[in-house]
Amino acid sequence: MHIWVVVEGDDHGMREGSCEILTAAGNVQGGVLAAAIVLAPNTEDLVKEVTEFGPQSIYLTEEWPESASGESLAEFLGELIEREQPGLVLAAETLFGRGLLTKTALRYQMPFFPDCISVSLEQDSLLFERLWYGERLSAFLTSAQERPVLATWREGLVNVKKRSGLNSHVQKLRPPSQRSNLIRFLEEIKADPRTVDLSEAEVIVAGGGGMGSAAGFQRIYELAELIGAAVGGSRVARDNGWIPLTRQIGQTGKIVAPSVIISCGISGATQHAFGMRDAKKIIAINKDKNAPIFKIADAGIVGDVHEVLPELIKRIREGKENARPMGA
Amino acid sequence: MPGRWEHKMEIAVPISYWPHRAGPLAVEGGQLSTKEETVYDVGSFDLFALEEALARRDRWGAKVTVVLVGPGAHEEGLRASLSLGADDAVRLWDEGLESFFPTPSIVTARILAAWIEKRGFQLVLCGDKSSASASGLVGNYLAHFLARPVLSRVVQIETLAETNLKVTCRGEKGSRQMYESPLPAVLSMGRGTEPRYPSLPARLAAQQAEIPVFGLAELQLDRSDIQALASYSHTLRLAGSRPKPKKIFTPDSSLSAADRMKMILAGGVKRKKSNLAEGSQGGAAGVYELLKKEGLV
Repeated sequence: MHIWVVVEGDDHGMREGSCEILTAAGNVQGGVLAAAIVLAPNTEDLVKEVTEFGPQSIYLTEEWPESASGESLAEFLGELIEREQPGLVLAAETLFGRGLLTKTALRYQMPFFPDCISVSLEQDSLLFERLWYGERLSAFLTSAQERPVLATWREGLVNVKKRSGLNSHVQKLRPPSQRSNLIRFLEEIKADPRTVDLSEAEVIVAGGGGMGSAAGFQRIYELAELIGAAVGGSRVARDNGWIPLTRQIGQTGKIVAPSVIISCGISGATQHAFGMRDAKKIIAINKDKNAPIFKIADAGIVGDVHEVLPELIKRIREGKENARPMGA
Repeated sequence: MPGRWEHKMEIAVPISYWPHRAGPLAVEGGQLSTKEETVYDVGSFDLFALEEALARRDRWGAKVTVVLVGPGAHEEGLRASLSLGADDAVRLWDEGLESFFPTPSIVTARILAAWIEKRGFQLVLCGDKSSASASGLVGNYLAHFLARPVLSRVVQIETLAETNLKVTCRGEKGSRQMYESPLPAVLSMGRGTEPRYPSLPARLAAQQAEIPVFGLAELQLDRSDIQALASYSHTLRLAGSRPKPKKIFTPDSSLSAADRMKMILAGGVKRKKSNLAEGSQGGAAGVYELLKKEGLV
């Protein structure tokens, strides 16, 4: 059975969920990862990443229209599916993936199974496992329609494994046409970093035992305020009462996946490192150069946080003041 | 005056009534066991939708009708909604539908659409996910059958004009997205205000209320059409409770045994070759440059 995967990009390349689905699709017994459809504005780097999972073909849009609406993308995907007739089309269960497949399923009358936790082939028919009754029971669903089936797969369940030595055939296609929509998009309001749930935060400044005291921890809040980041901390910081439980990162706290995390005075014990393993960029400041945090950090500063942070805050303030007259 | 409807607006709130997750839930022969005294409840998202509709009614004087697709045993869900303040309740069911139970989202939506179209509600407020299958599809299918615009994960609804709504939806990473939607529309609530408590007199009155039932014939639906729709998704079997699925880290098989052990002990946290800088002056400058590169300062 031919399996297709819709690849979603974010600011840093391919979305983790898409990597998972590409891995999972390659693992379905009796299935072939026939194609990956890259629906994102900047495809060049994405294609390189997708190739590492070894789909037979990769479909791209020639150019990305300025205002690609969900409807036009659904039409693009739907037409492609109608032409090639794959058995199964998968996407990650994200706002984008679900929205796109829902619209495609409705427009082209295809069966759709959202938020699956596993997909398997049993006697040539597809079996979708979903969680029912408040995730207490699993339900196995199938479709009796002789049509391509669409499904989204929950994120964070599959270990990403790349395959090497495979070549993909890249095909560029006509970009999706514009369609008018009854609903008008007005604006997007980004989450306030001070109140956003830590697991959803884009940028985090985290402090640990090295901050020394509640007064010392104020520097973390100061830096976070300046760069628009959320505040987090290690277990030590919580035990000392500098942060509430909802702001603790680690195995017994929140699992976070920000694009940038600045760790200040945190040694980086396994339990804490586990909670931030999906962070894209880790910047660590610690005075012990043998601290385990440096082994997982992208950039490390060996120095006293009480000296580095004030210096950093001063620099950011100066930078902001220098920029102001030009902006005015 | 924007925000005040001249004509009395009618709002439909489709609800679902399924076993509460607290259960006790048992599976027998691939189906939910009926031996256990399972606790049923109206879905939490449906209650958000109902509360939003009732708040609208209290402010602008709309009429709120709750509607449910399900057998007689599910009528209790409608009574619970009535006791919370819904003006009317309707149940849609037919003996011919027994074989499709539990009804797939697409069938539920088709039946709801037939009734809503007949009655012409301007606004349909439903919950994003039912407490059973939690597919989050009924709202979308419903809008499709009714040929109306739809928005999901709605958290706030404001009135712009008599025929326009400003709708706030939940985005990713804690963001909010605002849309302008014309009426009639289907809105699927993704969170909202906690539902109110019913009063005792309201509860008693709800127990006495008469709830009309409409079958396929009254809705001018054909059983064969329903059968065709049901073939899109079919529940083969249920399986017993399982632990919450999560990613279990397995190390790369190309690594040596010692490296694999190390990776398992580290919980899959990858080691990176980091650039180390020393000293507060140089360190701060380095971090500043990095933040600049990320566009944070």
